[in-house]
Amino acid sequence: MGISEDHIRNFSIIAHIDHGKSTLADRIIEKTGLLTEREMQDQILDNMDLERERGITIKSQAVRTVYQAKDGEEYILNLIDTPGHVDFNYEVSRSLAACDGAVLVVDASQGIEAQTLANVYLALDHDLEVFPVINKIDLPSARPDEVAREIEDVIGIEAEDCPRISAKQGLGIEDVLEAIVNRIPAPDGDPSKPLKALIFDAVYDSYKGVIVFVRVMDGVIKKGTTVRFMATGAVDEVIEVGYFGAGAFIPCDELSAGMVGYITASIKDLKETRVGDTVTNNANPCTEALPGYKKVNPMVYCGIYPADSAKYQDLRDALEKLQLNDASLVYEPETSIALGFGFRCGFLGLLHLDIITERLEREYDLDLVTTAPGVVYKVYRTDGEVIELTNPANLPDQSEIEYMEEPVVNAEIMVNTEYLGAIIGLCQERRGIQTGMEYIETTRVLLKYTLPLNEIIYDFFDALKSRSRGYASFDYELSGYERSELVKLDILINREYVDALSFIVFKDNAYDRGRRMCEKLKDEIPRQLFDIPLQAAVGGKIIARETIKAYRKDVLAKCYGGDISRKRKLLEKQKEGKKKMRQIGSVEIPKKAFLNVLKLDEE
Amino acid sequence: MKNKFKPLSVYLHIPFCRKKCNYCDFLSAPADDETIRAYADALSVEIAAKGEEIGEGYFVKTIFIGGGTPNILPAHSIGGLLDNIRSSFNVDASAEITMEMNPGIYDFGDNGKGRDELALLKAKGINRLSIGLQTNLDDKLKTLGRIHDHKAFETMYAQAEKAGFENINIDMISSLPGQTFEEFKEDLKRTVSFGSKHISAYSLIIEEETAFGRMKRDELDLPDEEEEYRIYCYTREFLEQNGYKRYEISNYAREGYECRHNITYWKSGEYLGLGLGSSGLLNEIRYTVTEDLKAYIANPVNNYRECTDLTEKDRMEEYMFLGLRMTEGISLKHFEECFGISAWEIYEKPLNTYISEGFLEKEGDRLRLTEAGLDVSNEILSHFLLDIV
Repeated sequence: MGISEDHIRNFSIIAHIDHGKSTLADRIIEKTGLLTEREMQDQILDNMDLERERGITIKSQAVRTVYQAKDGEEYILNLIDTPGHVDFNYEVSRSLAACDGAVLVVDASQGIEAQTLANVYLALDHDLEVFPVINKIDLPSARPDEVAREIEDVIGIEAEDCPRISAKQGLGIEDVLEAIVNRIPAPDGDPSKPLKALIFDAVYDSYKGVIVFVRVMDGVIKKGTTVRFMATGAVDEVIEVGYFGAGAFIPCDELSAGMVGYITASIKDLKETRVGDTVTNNANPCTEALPGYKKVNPMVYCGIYPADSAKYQDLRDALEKLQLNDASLVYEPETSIALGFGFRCGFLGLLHLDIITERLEREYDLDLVTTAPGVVYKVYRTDGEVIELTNPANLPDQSEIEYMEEPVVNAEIMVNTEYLGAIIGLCQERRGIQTGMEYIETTRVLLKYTLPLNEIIYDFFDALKSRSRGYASFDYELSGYERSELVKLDILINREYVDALSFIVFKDNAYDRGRRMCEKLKDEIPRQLFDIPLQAAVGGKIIARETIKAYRKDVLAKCYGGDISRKRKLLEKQKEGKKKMRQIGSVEIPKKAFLNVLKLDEE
Repeated sequence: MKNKFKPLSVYLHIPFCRKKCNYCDFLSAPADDETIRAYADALSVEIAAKGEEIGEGYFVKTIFIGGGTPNILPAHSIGGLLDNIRSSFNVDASAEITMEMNPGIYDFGDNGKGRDELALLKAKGINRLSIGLQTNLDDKLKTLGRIHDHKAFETMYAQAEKAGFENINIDMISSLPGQTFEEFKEDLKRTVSFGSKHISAYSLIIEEETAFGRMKRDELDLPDEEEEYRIYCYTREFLEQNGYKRYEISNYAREGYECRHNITYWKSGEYLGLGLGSSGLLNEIRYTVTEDLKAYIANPVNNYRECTDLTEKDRMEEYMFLGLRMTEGISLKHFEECFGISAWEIYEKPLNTYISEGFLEKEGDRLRLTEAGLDVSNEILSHFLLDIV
């Protein structure tokens, strides 16, 4: 079958969010004739409904195209799309490990932003050849020369002669394709060596079962090969091998060194396949597994409960399937007095949390109650034990705590000087400590801060965008733990402690937070037949209170001409409203309230 | 012998008015004389056909001619319809026969047409009138889009009394745009001063498909919730002080003058709905006649929009959410006789909860909403809808 390795290019496109990565991917697919223009659907690689709606890439996707280069030769281009949001750096890292080079897309008017840098560093970490492309040159505000200089100054890669394109208008796409062929190295694996392939993703398909995405480093894999997953030790027979068409899996005879494709096998248990694992030939194994991925630790935790407690098992199955292609999702069973049986789930960030809950609801048709997200605290007990606290309800009594530590991040914020004051103010409010400030050019500044993670997980990103009118970008990485004065804020509704609403807060902010939580709950919980006191407490002491006044009149007066069915419909509607509620004691609480109470920075 | 005939209430719908009021979402609209005549003819056909079909087994205890504005139809037409009912059904000699009327259609002065019309209606057996007053204030009548002023109501009311109608209901609406509590007190006092036997007092509800519903909320300038609650409480207190007993959420009557027709609905009794868009309940089937006027005129017999066989569950639910609208509540024993199972068994949770919270009370065999329960009856009654088991 010979596709020789020197005619293969495996690459990713990396960019800050909104710089046009997915549009460029579309143009490449179109130009290489994989799909006709008529078949093109915008952003072909974002094939989750959710991705198209939000205009972001969440999951990495791969596609194979064939390009007839100017040297007259045909090249196989394997494009592996990557997400752009800071929450999904892990996904980017996985994709990059399957590539030999990366195309860096930079917006011609926005220039370099926080995640441009973050992604470039990731690519360089993987020893990838990176070349820049300046996109959106058709915009009136485009300033490609300045941006080219910025790339050279800040990143230190040559950008003078880089392709200047408009992916939207299809300008300069040929130049990009030529650069891919000429600048990105061909893979250098050896097909005659024992099989060694990296699992960079996996999805569950109800017909094919688990579909494993692989990059073959050495050797050959074909139908019937008995493979071994080196980390889990599982041994399975390969049922099908193939490559990625646009939105389709296309079977082929074999995948050899340097190629990207998929395999399906007689995999019984979803846990047998682990992203980052190495696949080898059971009869003729390679000596050493690939380094795999650094395990990422979730940064944000929250409780996820089925609205209908009978759906607990369905939720468990759904989480298991989602985890298959999202190893960064972790979960374990927990019980809440208020919400019953559910799971404490860990996420890379708030967007990740949002995406997962939405996928659970849409793809698995589940109705969920989500509790307020929190970070992982370290609790040093007086007896010397250290607890990693993911659920505030489990915080030991104050008398048993020696001290606590909270996670902090190193944050980089790129901002226009015009909004510098506002953003510095925001960081100060969030207990940030400035560690650096660099002028990228006269009007743009790179701010560096250390910030407690729990100050940025709820709404920092939104606050940043609104205070800078969108002219700020943000990236962060966990830097470690620091000792902090923290307390648990409890909420009592109708004098009953609601464990699902407890959260950990910086001591000096407790009063203010408690007050605002009560105010917010007052808006979130509809009035009921009796007065409902809302209280915030720290260590048993009430620090804030509000009352939801009972409604006093709700009368349906008209009863006309014996039209009973109309009356019935009105009562049914009233009753239907209850289904969106969760009963805590005698109080009906809307399911959304558990999450919404923490969005305090909205107005 | 006594059980040979089942009691029946008959509702006759007259879907016409001079002009649609701003708050009204009933099935009613202006129409030309020819259409109105054709409709009356169609109604006669329906009456005769229904009489043929079911008349044998029933004894008509109440008749209610509602609208719209039924007095758009000339009295002789109304009389003709009543004659038709009498020739097709067994009508109790002491049946309550109500007709709704509105001022502004014709002159009710001593020399006007109204006087003769009333006399004729009386002669044809109408023995109860329900007159739409809504409010005593001219500017508010205008806001509501009524076609008459207060004077027209006064004249009509006086003429009705003169014609010998002693059982009259006045319809009133409160919580009107721009209304204050003080203003309402005066309004209610004037309503009571007519000395009618029955008063229906509703709070204005803004329905979507009305002129009010299409206006912006702040444009409407409705009394706020506190004000509305004061108005609502005052209505109850003042009417009770003046000898009107509240016997249903929005209905007040002097002793012995409760509307027997409406009580049929609340007690899940059988009733026959005749005319456009009317509803009926016969043999555990609930139905609604078509709302398409042309279709009805062309084919007035058994032309249904909806027809539902009530299940046991439906009937239990209705027994409760209708029965509890009455201040006398329901008889637990009767519930058990009807369904062969105790209400406690079906409604354990809402009964226990609401009795303990003071929204329901049990006295001997009676179960009823307390005053606090009546105030929030919607919420309470919605809990008497059963989940599908």
